[in-house]
Amino acid sequence: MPALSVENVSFRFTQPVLCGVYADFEQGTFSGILGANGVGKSTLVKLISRWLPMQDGAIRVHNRPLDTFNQRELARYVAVVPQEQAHITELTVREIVELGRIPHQGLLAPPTAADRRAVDDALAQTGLQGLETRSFATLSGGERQRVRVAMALAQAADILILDEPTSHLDIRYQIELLTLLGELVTKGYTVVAVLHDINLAALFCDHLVLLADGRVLRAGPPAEVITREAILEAYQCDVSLLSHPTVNVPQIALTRNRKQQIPGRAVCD
Amino acid sequence: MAVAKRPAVVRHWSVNALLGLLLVLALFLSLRVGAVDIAPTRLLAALQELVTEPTNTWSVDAVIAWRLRLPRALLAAAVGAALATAGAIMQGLLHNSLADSFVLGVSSGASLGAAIALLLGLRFTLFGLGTVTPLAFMGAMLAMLAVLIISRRVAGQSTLGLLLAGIAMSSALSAVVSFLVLLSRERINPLLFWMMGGFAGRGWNHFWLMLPYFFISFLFAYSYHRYLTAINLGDATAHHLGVDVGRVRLLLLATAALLTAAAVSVSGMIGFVGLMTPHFARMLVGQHYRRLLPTAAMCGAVFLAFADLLARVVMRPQELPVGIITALCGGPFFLWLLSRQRQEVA
Repeated sequence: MPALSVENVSFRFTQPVLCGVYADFEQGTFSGILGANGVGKSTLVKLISRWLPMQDGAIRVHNRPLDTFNQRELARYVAVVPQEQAHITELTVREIVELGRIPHQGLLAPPTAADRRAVDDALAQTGLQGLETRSFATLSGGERQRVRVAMALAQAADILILDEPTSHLDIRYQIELLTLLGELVTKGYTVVAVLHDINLAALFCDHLVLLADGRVLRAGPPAEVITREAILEAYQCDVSLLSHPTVNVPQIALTRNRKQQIPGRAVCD
Repeated sequence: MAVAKRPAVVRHWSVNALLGLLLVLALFLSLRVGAVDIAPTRLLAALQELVTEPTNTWSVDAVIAWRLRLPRALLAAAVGAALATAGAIMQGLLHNSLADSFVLGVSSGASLGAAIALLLGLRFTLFGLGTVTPLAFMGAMLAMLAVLIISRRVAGQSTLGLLLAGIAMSSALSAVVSFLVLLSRERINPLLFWMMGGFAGRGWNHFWLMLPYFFISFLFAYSYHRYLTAINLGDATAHHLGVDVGRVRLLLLATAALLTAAAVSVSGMIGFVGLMTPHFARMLVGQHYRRLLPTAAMCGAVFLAFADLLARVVMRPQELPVGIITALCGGPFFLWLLSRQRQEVA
């Protein structure tokens, strides 16, 4: 039974964005959601986190329909790291991570021993112990992203969803963050990340979902999803497929011109 | 970790202790100076009398201190604390460091509600005030919702749009209050009082009527300190932490409106306290509402207690409306904040 399943989900703003999307995310796997800009990756994440209202289809968390959760309850099962906001706070690292305990705390209840332990664990897992009293505003991009992941970990939810966690990070921090997510998966977390970098996704994810034209174009292990044809169809961009020199996963090499073009279909046709 | 945390906690408490001392100083000076000064030794003797002697044998000094000056100074502090708390709440919830009851037209809404209550013939007695505050609250709430809805619709999330809508609302409602003042010649004095804002002639009954509103609203807002901090970080962040952002925002904005209404009912419109003092508090104790709310309330209390003291002494024996003093400090501060926000606004 998948930890998170998306069944026949459609969504439209003024134009259709998603139409009939199916995806299963198994417990203890690292899944990547890929697709061109504007294909609805973030929309899908916002539907899962209930930031957008469901219009059609069903999303289940541990086989329970999303609309049977209240928001506070959902936050104990699903933790979301949204796309980076412009707002930079002066709160300290520990204060931010402590906010992750909100779904477990009563309004006036002081932090319990369990709260403190969860915060300490989250800080330890993300390697932030030394930075606890630092102001968020003084951190580097990579450190900030780790703080946001730590806040999600403090929620003690077993499903972790990240919307473009590696954008704005240099390669060192990208690798560091994805390695951290990989470690969480080995501890039993289910991680779903919207990613832009196809090579990184192939390198770190167990399972990929490639979206195109509002649908799932391909889903499966990286070797099945990342093919020249699939990339061409999803991104309208011709690439050469390589094999990674040390790991058995596909990688792509970009070419200078888009060269081939296939006529783009309208979304949801 | 515990060691690393301690300095922040110590700092927080020493900041509040210092503000507490400043408040005591403001109260002491308020008792001492005025139309007639009471020398420190005589004041101490008078204070002793208040505790030890029966009411009918009090000296003139003791009567002045107890009946006139102490309730007025305490009221100024309570109103300052209420306005500062309201400002801190609004700034956090609206992601707008320029928000406060005065700027957003909430105060003028409250003053219109209060003016209507007076015009309907509800006298300014214990019971009269009991009807003034609820009407002021309705006015404050309606003005605030109108400003929020209009600015959202016209200008989206823009800081400037919210301010313009607030200022327009404020001017329009103030004009209505002025009109009401002209209509009611026989009640012109109490109504004129809303136009100015001040504590002249306020006494214990005003203080005791204001205090429960302040305490209940403050405690209510304080119980939401984690949610306020999370919403201040971003609506999406708070949502993902399980906070029902829309409901919490409405509840806490209503709380801010109630604080404003309680303040306006007893003191009329006093501007910029709620705008300025949360900024001082943030510089002192940071952005977490667990610390920010109490310290902002303390800053507001200290600020307005001193402002009222100034209002009483600058042109002795005449009094200035305290709103003039706060506007003289707050206007430039507002412009300074606005210029700092220029990039964001653009």
